Amino acid sequence: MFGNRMRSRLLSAATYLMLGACTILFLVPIFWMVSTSLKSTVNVFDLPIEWIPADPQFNNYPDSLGKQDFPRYFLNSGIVATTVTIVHVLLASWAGYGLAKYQFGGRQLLFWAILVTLILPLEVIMIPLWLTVRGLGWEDSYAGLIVPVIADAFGVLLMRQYFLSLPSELIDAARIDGAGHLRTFFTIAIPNAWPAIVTLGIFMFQATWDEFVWPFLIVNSSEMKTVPLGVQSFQSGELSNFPAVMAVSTVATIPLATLFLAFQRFWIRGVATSGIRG
Amino acid sequence: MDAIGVTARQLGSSPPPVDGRRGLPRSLGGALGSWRGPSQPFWGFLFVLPILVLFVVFKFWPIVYAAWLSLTNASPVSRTSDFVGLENYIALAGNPQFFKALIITGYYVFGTLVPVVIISLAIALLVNQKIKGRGLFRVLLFFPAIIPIIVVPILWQFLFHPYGLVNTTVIETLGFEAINWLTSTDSVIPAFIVSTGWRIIPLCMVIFLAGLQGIPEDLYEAAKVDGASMPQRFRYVTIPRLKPTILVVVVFAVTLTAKNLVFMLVMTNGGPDNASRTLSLFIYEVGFRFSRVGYASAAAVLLLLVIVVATAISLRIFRTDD
Repeated sequence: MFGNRMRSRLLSAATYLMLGACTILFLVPIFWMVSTSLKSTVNVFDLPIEWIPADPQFNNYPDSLGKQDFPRYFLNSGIVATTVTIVHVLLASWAGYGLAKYQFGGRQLLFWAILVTLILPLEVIMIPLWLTVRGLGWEDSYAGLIVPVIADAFGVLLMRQYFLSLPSELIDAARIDGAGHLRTFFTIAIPNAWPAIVTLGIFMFQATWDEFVWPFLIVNSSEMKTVPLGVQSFQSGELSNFPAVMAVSTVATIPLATLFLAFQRFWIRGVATSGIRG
Repeated sequence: MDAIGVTARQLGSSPPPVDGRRGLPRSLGGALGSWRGPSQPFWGFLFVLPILVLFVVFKFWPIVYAAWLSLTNASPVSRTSDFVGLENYIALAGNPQFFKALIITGYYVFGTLVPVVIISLAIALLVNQKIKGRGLFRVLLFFPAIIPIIVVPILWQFLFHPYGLVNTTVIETLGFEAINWLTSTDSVIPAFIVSTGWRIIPLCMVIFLAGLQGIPEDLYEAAKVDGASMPQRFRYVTIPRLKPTILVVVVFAVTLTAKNLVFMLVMTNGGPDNASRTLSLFIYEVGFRFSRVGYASAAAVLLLLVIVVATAISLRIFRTDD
C-alpha cells in the first residue's frame, strides 16, 4: 500500500510521537515540583494549572531553607559521600586488581562471596548491622555513616573486570624492570583504568549522597543529618506547605542534577554496568 | 550461578581500555606461555584484604548475626537475649499480619516488575532507533533517575493528593471521580507501582539499551535478507540475544522493590488498614519501633529467602545456554 520511503517516514513519525509522549510524562512531575516551589500556598491547587507562576514566590527558597540547618546537612553529605567515594575506589581497585591479576588459594571463593552480596539489600541486615555499628560506638557519627557503606560489591566487580582486560604483559614488564607490587599498581594499573575509576567514582558518590535508610537508622542528632534526612524531617514538619517542601526538594536535587549533567556518560555507564546491584 | 556470568559479561562489555598498547598480538601472549599473573599469592591476598575486612564486619557477619538473632528473643529494651529455637518462625507462621505483609510485598514487587520490564524495553527499543535527536531523548528520559530517592515519594505524595495532578489531569479528564490514592486500600499499591516505575524505568531502560547495543548489526541484516519481518526480527533475534539483559533487569527490579522502605515510610507508614505494610516495613517496625529484634530478624531472614528464591527463579527462566 505504501512505498518503502513512505513507510519508513511513518515509522519514524510514530517513534517521535511515542518518545515525545514518554518524555513529557517523565518530565511533568519534575516540572510540577519546580513550578510548585514558586507558588504561594493558596495557589497550589488552582485550575487550570499555572505551570509558570505569574507571580513567582522566590522567597519560598530562603524562607524554607532557613527553617533548618541545611548548610550543615550539605556539608555532612559532602563529607560522607566524598570520603566513601575516595576510600571505596582505592580499596575496590586494590581488590579488583588482586582478584584479576594474582593467583592465590581461595580467590574464586572470595570472588563469589563478594558477588552474592549484590542481591543482599541493606533492609535484610539493617538490624544486625545497626547493632554492630552501635557496638563499635559509631552511632550518630561520621564513622557510622561512612565505614559500613564502603563495603560494596559493585566496585570490586567493576574493577576486577576492567583489570582482567589489562594485558598482563604490561605488569610483567614493570615487574621485570624491578617495580614493586604497589608501585606497579599505581604506575601501570591505575593510569590505565581511569574510565572505570571515574565511572565507579560517580556511581558511588551518587549512591552515597542519595542513601536514606542507613543514615535514617544511625543518625540521632540534627548536627549529623545528611541532606535526605533534612528533607524528610522538613517534610514531616511542613506536611501541608507544598511550596516550601517542593523548594527544599528542588534544592536537594540540584547537586545530583549538576553531577549528572557534568558526567552524563560516566553516570549512565555506571548504571548500565551496575544492573544487578540492588 | 548463571547470573554471575551474566553480570561479569555485562561488566565486560563496558569501557574499552584507553591504552593504545592493548592491541598486542595474541601470539605474544602465547609466547610468554601460560602466564597467569604474578605468582606471589601473598600480595594478591594483601590487595583484597582491606575491603575484605569491611565485608566481613559489615556484610557477612550481619548475615550470621541476623540468623542467630532470629533464634533468640533479643530486645535492646528488655536487655534479654535467650535462645528460643524456632519460636520466632513459628510465631511468624501464625501471624496474619506477617502473611498480609508477604502478600502485599508480592503484589507490589510483581505488579511493578511486569510493566517496568515491558515499558523500559519498549523505550529502549525506541531510543535505539537511528533517528535524529535520540541522544537528547536518552538524557531527558533519564531525568527521573537523578531525583534524590527521598524526594520521589514526597513528590508523588503531592501528585496523588485528592486535588493533585494525577486526579486533575488524568482521572477527571477520563471522566472518573477523583481517587484518594494513598488513603484507599485498593489504590495505595497501584500508586506505589506508578511512582516506583517512574523512578526505575529510566534505570532499566539504560540497562536494556546497553544490551541492545551488544547485539551485532549483521544478525539483523541476515534476518532481513532471509525475509524476516520486523516483529519476527524482534522475536527471533532481539529476544534470544537479550535474555541475559532481561535477567539483569528482573533481578535489579525485584531487589529494588522488595527492599523498598523509603516510599512506605514517607507516603503511608503502612496504611491505610495495613494495605501498604510490606515486609521491609514490617521488619523495620517490629525491629526498631517495637524493639523486638529477634522476631524482626526472623522476618528479615525470610525476606532474604524470598529474594534468593526470586533470583533463582529468574535464573531458571532466563538461563542462557552457554
